[in-house]
Amino acid sequence: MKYSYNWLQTHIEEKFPPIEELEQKIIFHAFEVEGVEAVGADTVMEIKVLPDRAGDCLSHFGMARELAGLLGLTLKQKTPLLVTAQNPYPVTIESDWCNRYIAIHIEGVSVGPSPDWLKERLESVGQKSINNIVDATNFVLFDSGQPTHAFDADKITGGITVRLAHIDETITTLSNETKALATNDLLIADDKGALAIAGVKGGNKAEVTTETKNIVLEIANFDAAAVRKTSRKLGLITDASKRFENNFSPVIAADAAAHLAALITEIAGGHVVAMNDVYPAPEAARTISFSTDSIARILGNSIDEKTIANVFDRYHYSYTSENNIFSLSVPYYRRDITGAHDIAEEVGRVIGYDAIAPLPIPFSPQVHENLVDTTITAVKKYLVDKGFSEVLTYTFQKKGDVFVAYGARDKSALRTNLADGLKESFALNRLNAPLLSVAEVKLFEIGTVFFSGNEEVHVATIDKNGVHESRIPDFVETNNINANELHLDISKEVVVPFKPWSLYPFIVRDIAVWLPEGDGAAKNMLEKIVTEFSAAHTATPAVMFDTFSKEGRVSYAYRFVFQSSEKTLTDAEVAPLLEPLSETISRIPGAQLR
Amino acid sequence: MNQDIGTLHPLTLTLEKIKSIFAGLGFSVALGPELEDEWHNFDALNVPKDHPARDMQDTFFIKDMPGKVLRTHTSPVQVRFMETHTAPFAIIAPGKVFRNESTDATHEAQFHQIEGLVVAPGITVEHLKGTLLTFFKEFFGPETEIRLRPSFFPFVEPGFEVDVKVIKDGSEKWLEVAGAGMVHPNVFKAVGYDTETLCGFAFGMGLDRLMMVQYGIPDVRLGYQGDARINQWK
Repeated sequence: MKYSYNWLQTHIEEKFPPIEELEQKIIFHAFEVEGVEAVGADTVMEIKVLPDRAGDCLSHFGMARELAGLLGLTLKQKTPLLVTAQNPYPVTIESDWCNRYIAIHIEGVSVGPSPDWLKERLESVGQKSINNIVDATNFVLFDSGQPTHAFDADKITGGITVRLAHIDETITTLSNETKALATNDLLIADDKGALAIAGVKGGNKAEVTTETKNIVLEIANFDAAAVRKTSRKLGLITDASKRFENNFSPVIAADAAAHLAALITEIAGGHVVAMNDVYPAPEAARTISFSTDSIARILGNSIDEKTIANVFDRYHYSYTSENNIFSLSVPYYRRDITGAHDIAEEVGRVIGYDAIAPLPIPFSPQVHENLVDTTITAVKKYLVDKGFSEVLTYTFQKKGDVFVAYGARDKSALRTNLADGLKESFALNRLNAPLLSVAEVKLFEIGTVFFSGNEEVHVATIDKNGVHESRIPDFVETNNINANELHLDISKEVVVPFKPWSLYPFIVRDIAVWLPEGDGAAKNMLEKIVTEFSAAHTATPAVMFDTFSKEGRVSYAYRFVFQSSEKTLTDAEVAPLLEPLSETISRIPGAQLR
Repeated sequence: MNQDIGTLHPLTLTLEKIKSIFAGLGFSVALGPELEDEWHNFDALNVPKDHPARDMQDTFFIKDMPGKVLRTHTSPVQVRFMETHTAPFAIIAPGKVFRNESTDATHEAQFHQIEGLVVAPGITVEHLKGTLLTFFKEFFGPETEIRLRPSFFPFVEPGFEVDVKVIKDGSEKWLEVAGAGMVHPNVFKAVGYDTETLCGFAFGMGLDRLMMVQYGIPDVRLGYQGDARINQWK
């Protein structure tokens, strides 16, 4: 969610620290900050609030409350507001999936543009200003985390009922999409039909327009799983549904309702004529007990009673502690806190994980061999020794027995063999053969293949003689591989950085030379010349691809591959490089170019 | 360079190096299936149905096989291992995983992870930090530092992102390389472990990411195109 620095500041008594300092505090003690951006005179942070804290922190007030605790600042106490009205507005709740429903009937509003301060606030977090009524509901959403909705009161027949959809019922949303509903979708309806999809989106039937004079505000709380199911099914993921599915507390509705009614009467006029607050099962206060030891068991022995107490004090949490036993009144908005493990997280992140010392694990585990894994490693070693190079291809193919759902991809089947992918790989690599530092293109892949009832790990090989594929155990048996004797030696590995390959064609040139048989010095000179030349000029290390002896002389044939990353090389560009090379080689005593 | 010997994929080289470091710390290897059931991939890992945490990973569900998914992480191997073994133990679980997301230079629909899990009485965040620090010093070099930032994964509490400080091209960089945390009591409950006596830590790392950092490979997709030109190390 986007958080405005200035907006957050409105909830804090003291001046916030500079943005850089604030950002570091958030990153190392609370959430990931994904971006910071200047918007006019304001600064906006994109903060990634994960599901555990989405119930209390997806709002400016919620985030300010968290930051006040972290930074030791004072959260501004809101003036408690009360909505009063002489008449009750008719609200009926027919489903357990509605936890609370507040309706406020306001008469005599003038729908028009919002004041500048409100436009600015909304625009800072990327919201477009629409009109004063809609903007007020959006402001309350991003300020308090409570989604709200405004209906045109004159378009409601009778009162409001929260109920499940009827068979074959449909609704046309505010964006003029007609959605078919099922009997497990929760609706807001009047005596005639659907007004809104509960917690997801409003319908166009009672839409607020510029002609609207009288409105009904909804400040409600719906079941998280029910909202989530309906919103996913209908493909309507909204700012409201995202908050409801994160299960925030119904307690906040009262405050949000009072602030919304006050804001609307201030900027759009009108007066409250009726209201209702149906809250069938008010949330009970929760207390959890835990010992200091249960926290130290998770975070380590440096944690004592005082450390924990200090954290609670910062956040003004109400608790008692005696003889290392804590009893915490869990704030209503912290529905994520259910046990000692959650307290450990609170204490750990607030004191900072840097404060915890690294230690080796307190026992000596025994390494048990995993036969499947060691066998796969042995097969790799066996094949590499035989000149095969390893490739990886995609699990997804066009044909197969098992398919992933949502077939939007052109390849939605899981492979039943490695051979098909390996054949394509072989064709590709043969074109690039001179660029691979191997004598002949021979490839293998080890990977999982899928049949309708099971999956198997296969090994497939391919070379000029064809492709072979088998299950790992069969391959091991056929080739008499002893897994205990074949280990990959990775200790010699030298890390040189990856060299990107060029998209332009390469040119191959061979040079062969006779040297006197048994002349080690001449051979060494030749190797040195070739290696140095190759390092300076060729795309891949030069390889000696042929050697034979005849009449007291040995022939050595080297292959040089030239390639540019910028253009297609020509003969005329390569020849001036090769001439001095031939010249140098020919000066080796006893050498004769072939 | 001996051209009669074939070349290994850098992902294999990366994995073998990781395995050998962890073998030195007493970790055994555990494996599991790529086609998983929702119980092992989600429910047992404290990711309930109809919970926003399920959206943290874009899942490939399987057509006509209700309850089956391509595993979105190697964490189900934790569950499978605990279902069949008793503590104490220390394991790593490498393997291929799948996410239904659009691909770019740092995202692929298939990639590889390596999971770690240590369960024993008396395991704390201190031991998680010690193990990861030792591992990364061996992997990236003795100057390496690590830091933990708070994060959230449903199967651990507390949960962390792990950054390592590496020296690349002469300058220091903090790279996000792993997620980790203390095993959530609900995971122990799902496998019938005693939450009073046992504690554990878990971590997960992207093998492809470690490969890319180690070898300077700029694009994860290069690794899966069947192109042996990526095998530049023997």
